[in-house]
Amino acid sequence: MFKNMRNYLQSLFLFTLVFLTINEIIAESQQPDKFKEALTIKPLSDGKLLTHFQFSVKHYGYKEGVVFSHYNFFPRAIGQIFQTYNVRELHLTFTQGRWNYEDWGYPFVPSAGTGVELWAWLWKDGKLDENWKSLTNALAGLFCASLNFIDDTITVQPKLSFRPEGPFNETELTERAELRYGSLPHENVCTENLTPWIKLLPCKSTSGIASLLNGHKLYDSNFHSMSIHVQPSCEDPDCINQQLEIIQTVSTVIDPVRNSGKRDWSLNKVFGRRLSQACPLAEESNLEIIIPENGDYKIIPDADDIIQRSMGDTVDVEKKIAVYNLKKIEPDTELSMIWNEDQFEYNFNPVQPQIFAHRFFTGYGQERGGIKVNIFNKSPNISIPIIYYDVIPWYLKLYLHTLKVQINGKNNKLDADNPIKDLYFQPAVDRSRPNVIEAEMLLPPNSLTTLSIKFDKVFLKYTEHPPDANRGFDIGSGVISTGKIDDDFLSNLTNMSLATKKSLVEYMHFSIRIYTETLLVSLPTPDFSMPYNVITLTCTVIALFFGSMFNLITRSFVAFIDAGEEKAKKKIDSDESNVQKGEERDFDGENFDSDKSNVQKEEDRDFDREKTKLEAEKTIANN
Amino acid sequence: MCFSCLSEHLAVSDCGDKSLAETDNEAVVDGFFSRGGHTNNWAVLVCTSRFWFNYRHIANTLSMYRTVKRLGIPDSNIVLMLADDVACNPRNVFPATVFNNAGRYLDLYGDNVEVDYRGYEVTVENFIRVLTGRVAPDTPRSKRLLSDDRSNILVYMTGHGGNEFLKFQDAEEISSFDLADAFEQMWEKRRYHEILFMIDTCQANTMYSQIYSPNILATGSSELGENSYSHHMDTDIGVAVIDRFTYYNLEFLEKIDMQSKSTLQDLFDSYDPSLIHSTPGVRSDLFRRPLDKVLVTDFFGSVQNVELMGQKYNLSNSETIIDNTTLSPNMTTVKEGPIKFEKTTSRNFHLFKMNSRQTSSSLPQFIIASILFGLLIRWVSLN
Repeated sequence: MFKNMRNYLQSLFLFTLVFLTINEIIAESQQPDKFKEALTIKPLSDGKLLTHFQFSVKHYGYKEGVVFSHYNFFPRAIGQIFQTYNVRELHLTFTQGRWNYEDWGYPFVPSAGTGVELWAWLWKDGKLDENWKSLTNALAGLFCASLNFIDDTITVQPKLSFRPEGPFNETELTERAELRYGSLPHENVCTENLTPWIKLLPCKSTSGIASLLNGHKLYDSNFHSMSIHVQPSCEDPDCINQQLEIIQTVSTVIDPVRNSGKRDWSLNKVFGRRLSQACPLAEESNLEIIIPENGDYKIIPDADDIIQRSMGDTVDVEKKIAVYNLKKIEPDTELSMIWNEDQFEYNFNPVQPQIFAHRFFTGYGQERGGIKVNIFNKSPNISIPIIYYDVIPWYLKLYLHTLKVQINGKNNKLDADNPIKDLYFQPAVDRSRPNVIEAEMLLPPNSLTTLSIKFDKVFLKYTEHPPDANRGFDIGSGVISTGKIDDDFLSNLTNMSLATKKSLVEYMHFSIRIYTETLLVSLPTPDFSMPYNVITLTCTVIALFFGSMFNLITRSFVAFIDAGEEKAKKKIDSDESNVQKGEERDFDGENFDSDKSNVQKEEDRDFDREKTKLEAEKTIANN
Repeated sequence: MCFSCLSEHLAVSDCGDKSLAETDNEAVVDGFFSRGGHTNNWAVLVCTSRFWFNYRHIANTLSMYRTVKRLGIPDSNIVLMLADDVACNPRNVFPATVFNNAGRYLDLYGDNVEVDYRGYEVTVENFIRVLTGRVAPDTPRSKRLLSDDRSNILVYMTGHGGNEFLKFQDAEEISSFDLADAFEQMWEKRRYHEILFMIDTCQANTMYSQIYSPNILATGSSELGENSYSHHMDTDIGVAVIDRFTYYNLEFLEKIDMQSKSTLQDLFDSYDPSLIHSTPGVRSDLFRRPLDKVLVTDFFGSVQNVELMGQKYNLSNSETIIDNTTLSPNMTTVKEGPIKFEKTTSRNFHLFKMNSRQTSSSLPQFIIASILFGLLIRWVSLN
């Protein structure tokens, strides 16, 4: 008995041991998620202050098609959406305000078009378009935004722009995945969008730099942009093992000069909150200040470290960065930057980025108009390749033959001088797809390239207008994709003769995107009380016309015979049969009345008609 | 007598106890039948007005949102529809905030708000789809009213209206007939147990005049021919911040907490036409329960499975608790019914909780114990 018991317990123990080791092996093979957080602060040349929060979670051992078995730091809400709809890459940005490229340089995160922008690479699985639709709906529910308005009339498949931001293999990509893009330029961004965004973070807003995310301050700014990017990234140089990375960012541009006339700032003033310690789950938690090149200022307290790094906002210029390690910082540290100046003097010659653009409407009236885009290349001696991408809704009918390109205000006669190297144009189909222009261009050095195209405005059905129709319709940003100009690219460019048909795209990684202004077009708005007018007018017409016509058709008109002398006169002339007929009629009538005292009106009318008929017969006979 | 689903069952079984006094029994039976009978709560809060000058309508709706959230309905059970975004409107001098009082005591927008339908999404079609559940298959969970035949639903609407209609976004209207038919469809599809329909608009009482489905209680701000007025304006915001009817509703609701035993009769009695500047109406002919037995929290609050007590309760020694009669009256778990009952049931409830906790924690303990025991046996056998 005892021996049996011992054996049993021994086997139980061994089983538990094996179970635990297996568990450990599984745990070892799957590295835990890694979470990093960073806040970058950059004083801009026009006295404003850029703050950029970046949170990233890396999920190891990611394989396409393999379902997440366990969620650690990676948000489950995103992971489930990502897998259910077979997504390869997902980029969602909520922006309000306009990024001022000329004064501020390039933003840290490329997407900056006003409104909401969503683009995703989806795996081809036979129901890709349904997946895209479901994806927009799911994200709409998750982020409290009207993303479900991205329907077929807005969705675009860009051919050249919006390459994946994670690693990709060109052939694999074209064969197995497709890109979908949609933007809602009129979408508001407010606390209800930030709330679910913060809930995706491992520490929420309880600790770490996320505790500084204060909606009241964030939305009291010149520009704010909130984004979420989910993309694979490589674990090793050969990209055999992949991670799935989620990057969440919030950028704001605030204006300290507005309140005090000075550029001085402190974390408490900017965010209305104090910095708590790093999120305990974070592997790395840093606060970085990009140190301005000139000016008399001091940063309190001193930085833990000062490093030099290129920020990718202008041509490879390394910048000095003060780094604070929040793992070591004392709680409630107040970080501030004080400039030794009485008043901020506006910088009239900011360091402009190489490429920037402006877009506007031309023309007047409610029938037709035009779009013009000015693209500047400020580089003194390098021709820069770009891809211009613009989506114009179907209610503006573009005419491709009116597309004109000018360089520095001159039309180009020769084909070789034409900056457009490749052009993809998708004409709109009413109520089903938008116009798309994608142009691969080579901008000559120090030039202003102008694209212009004309359009007709469409008369919309009155139900197609939004409730605030007189406000007009928003047209999303045009997007210019370009890349960093490095030595590698330059050597390629010199080797490449323009005669060779090889695409520029292959020589450049288009990692920088420049967004133009969104536009507001007013379409002819109908008088919305028109249906009411139509109804009243139609009813009047029917009442007058139909009523009288009905009378004309159903009634027969009989000459009025005066009962007096005419009758007396004719009575003498008439023969007996006629008199008999008349008597019969009279008799009939009396019968009818006496038989049915409660006769219905209709019957009455019938009877009347019969009466008239008889009378008519009588007169005919009389005549 | 309803503190939780669990204790409810216990209370029911206790009703058959012969040892209890007859009068107590009657009170219990009375309490049992006057109870809501719902197991979950939902709220559909709609502001139908667009444009900045209708700030007060959004403030009305958000005030109700805050109230129901405070009284226990979670965001997942609230469908909030706001036709415009005033919080982040450039005209708002206090960005990302909405206030319902010129004193600006409470930021209604706060840091945690979930707006389910916003802007152009707030249409008559979407509203009726939410109520009747006839939504597109892709519609996310947050945009659905996932109620059942045990759900109490608060439907609050505000906007600009008239005789038997309410405007949506200045572009379309919902009529009282549409609303009545939507409620009937909900009843047919067993989507509610009871509905409290509350509307603050001009000639509001006409909006509920056509409703014909059972178990619907309705209240409105003004009679046919009467306007509904705003309460006051904030000179910094520049527009009126709240309507009178909602303001005086909130004044009552602010004094209520989750444990409150105020009834809807108390709420309706608090309406003062001279303060509201219009004649508020109540329609209770379709509603089965007497209003003085209906708790305000039956609609504005949530069914709670756990309630906090004011006093520490020693679980380890249950025998002493039975003897300890002084402890029980202090317990705040009572909602209705006699206190005597409550002693036994609430104790049972807590004992049950304790037992369940034990069972749940015993598995890892058992595993650890078995490992240790296995090691011991192995050590013994090796020796």
